[in-house]
Amino acid sequence: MTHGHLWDRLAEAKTRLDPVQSKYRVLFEDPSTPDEPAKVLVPDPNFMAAALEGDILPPIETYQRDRGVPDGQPKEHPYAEPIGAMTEEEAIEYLIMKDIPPNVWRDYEGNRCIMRIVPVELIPSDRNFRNAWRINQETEMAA
Amino acid sequence: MSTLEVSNLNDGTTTVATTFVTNGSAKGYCLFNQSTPAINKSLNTSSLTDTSAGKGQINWTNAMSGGETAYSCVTSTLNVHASDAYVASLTSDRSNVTITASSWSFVSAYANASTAALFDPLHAMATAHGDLA
Repeated sequence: MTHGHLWDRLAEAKTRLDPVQSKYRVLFEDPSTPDEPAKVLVPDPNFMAAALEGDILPPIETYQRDRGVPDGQPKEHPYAEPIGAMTEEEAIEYLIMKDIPPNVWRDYEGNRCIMRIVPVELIPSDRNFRNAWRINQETEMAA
Repeated sequence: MSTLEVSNLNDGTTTVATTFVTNGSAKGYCLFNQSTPAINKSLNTSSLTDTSAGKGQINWTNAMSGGETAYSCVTSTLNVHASDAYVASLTSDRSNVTITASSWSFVSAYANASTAALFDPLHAMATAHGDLA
């Protein structure tokens, strides 16, 4: 194994790559908790830099297989061979599959739109009614 | 890149194994603003999920070995006036969410003599210590 451990690659990348603030956020509602408000996934700037650089992050399939591995048992993703560079849009799709439950992005069969990738400007800055946020079903892009 | 191979460290009186240092170092941290929301500084963080007012989740790029990882947390205080002092706390949301090896769910709350509520911290930081997966 020549590519080392994932954590070592992340620590090394942090020393040489400038953080990249994504222009996207992911809005989603979890159908398993219908009473909860819409959630907002914020990509990490160092993660985005690593994704755009390439040869740092493992294949997304390793994370998906690791979902079935009990805590404390050896996981695949820290030791997997890294993949190449992604575009920002591909990195967001990678994050969705990694950090959002599959019942949101893969298994949901209802008619309601429960996930949207939106420009960061569309996230409301007024959080007075944060616990009432829902994804707008009437427009294509508005949150 | 050169590699320094050292088994033990000695300060003149005490000798410790280098694993004593590496095992005790932080394996991940996230300095964030939940009000925006945005991540300001981080290591080994892939994303932040803003769940609701005062609640969220930090997702790790390299998972920890298990959900029993130790976390230290700091959050901003809202008010330090002597006549109306608050205390604020960022802590694990273990009572409501199962903490896994790949993410840490938190709750941020403040309280004074007469009220208590969840709030969105402008500056909060969580650091993870423990073993990596």
